[in-house]
Amino acid sequence: MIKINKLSSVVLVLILSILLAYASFSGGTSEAYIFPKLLSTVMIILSFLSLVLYFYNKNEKITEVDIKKLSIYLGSLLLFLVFGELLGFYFLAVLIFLIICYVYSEKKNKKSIFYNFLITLCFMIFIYFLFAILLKVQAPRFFLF
Amino acid sequence: MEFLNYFSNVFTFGNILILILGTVGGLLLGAAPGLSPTMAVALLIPFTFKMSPEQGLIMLGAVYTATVAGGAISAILLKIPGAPANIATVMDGYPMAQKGKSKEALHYCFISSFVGGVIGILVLIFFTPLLANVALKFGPSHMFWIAIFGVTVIATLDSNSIIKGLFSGALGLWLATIGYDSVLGVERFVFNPIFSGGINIIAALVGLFAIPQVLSMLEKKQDLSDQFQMEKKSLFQSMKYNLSRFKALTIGSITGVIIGLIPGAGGQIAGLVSYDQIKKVSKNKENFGKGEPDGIIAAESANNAMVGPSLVPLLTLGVPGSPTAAVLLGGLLIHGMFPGPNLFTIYAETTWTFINSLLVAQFLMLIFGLYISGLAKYVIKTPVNYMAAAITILAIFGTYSVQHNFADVMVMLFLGVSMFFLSKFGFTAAPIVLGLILGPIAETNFSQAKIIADTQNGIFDYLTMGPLNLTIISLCILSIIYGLLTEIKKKTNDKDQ
Repeated sequence: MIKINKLSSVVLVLILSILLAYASFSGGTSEAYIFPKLLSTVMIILSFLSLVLYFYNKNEKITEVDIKKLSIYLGSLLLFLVFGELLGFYFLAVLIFLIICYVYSEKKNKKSIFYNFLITLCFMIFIYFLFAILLKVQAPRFFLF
Repeated sequence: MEFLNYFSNVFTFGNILILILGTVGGLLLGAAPGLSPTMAVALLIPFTFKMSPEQGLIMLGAVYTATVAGGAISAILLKIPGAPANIATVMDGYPMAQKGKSKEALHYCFISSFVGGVIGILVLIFFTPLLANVALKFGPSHMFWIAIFGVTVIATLDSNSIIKGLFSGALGLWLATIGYDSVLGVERFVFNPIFSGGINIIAALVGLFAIPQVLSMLEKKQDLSDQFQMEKKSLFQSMKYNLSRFKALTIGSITGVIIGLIPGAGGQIAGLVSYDQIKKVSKNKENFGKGEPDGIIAAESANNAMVGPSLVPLLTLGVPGSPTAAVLLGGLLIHGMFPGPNLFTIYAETTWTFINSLLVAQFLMLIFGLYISGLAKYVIKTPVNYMAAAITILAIFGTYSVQHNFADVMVMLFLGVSMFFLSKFGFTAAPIVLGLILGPIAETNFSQAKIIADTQNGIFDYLTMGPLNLTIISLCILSIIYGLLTEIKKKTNDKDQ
């Protein structure tokens, strides 16, 4: 469990607004940039107001994220982003499905592992039928699938 | 009575099949705790991309209707609202289930949803063409303000903090400017070639609604092992009793219709307001919260009566009546259909078939809902790990299928994970999504307004003069003031507690 002070979110939002404003105002004098300039100005004003209200507000200023619990899931997503095109969607989807099912399962005995395999197999057959056969989606593949 | 000309279109084999699939799927998705109607509709949008506009919209409409009703199943049986719209249903639905009357409560839920839903769709049928004719009088400046109004309304109503809501809306509008300017053809903010076409709306929709939900499901990981018994209850008896509760049905339906017509309000508010109203006028005030059927009847008729009217401002002006309607707007746009009078002229056949299908969906929802409610105990106990894995894989394949572009998957996952962390700080996805969807409409009309204004008194005068401009600007300001007052009231209540 990590504790994050809400001030960091306010500061991040302010930095984001300044970056977007920089991108909008350094884009040139073309009229195509008028609308983004207006929006980024509004965003800077709102993020400043947010900063002021943070100090004015006396509510709970800490938020918690159970990053340890989520790390496997986030890691799986990262795995997909890095190797998605190289190892193929179907292969990685099977892997991710199994990982999520196993790690976040209440029971980790042989029976539940068998069920995980069975459900993964059924679900992936459904996905293959839906996307590859019905919708004719050519997802990146690896070896046989 | 133009809608009658297209009524038979609903009954083609393909359309009926999609309608049944959408209704049954929506009921099951709605019953699964954590799967909101907004997320269900967002997840399905990539699949409708390959369908005809008519079939795509029928599917989305059926899922929207059925998930709102289906959300009551877990609200009654597990005390976990399947959707925000079912929060009020928990208050008396769960106590009824605890008393061994879960089947009776589910009967009331679907019968009331049906009554409210039909009334709501009739309002949609008769109100929409009238408002669409008003939209004919709108020029670029009015359309610009209407788009801004849509964003401000969602930003103020679907967020805990008005500043965060408005910031999210502005961020969505800014993100929509990535890519080519539609009027001048200038390329902007394309830091990487993958963004030259802008941010794909479907990738954003799926990422912003599905991934944060999965993350919070895994983080909280609720135990759904409550045991409950389903009693034997005659449907005829339930129907007789339900229809005799005329006051609760009327209050629920009227409240739902009015709240649905207010842009951005949504089913959650409809359910809670109607519950509050029926409690105030009831002779059995003390029974509320302890399993009073009127509480379920009013809340469920209200949240389904809201569905039809929430599409009135969406189809005529492009301003969604609820967050789910905002996602539905994305479904319209991917088929090249822009809200406004054209929907009832050029696309009349598609639009009326869609609206008529919503009416038929109410009947299907009643039939399948009553049947499925008996089997729902199996669905709602689906372990969180299977649900999380399935949603993630569906989100990835669904996003990829739209353009066969891996960059869309990257954008979807990046936005999804970012949104999860942003939600921890009180930001919500709906204003960002609506900003992304309405951004091109706002900017195109702004650019056109500027071109016209350059030949007149300048852009400021052009955008702020005239009764229609002033009315819409006043509505924007009013929605912000309303949001502020609500926030202040909520904070005062929290302090008192």
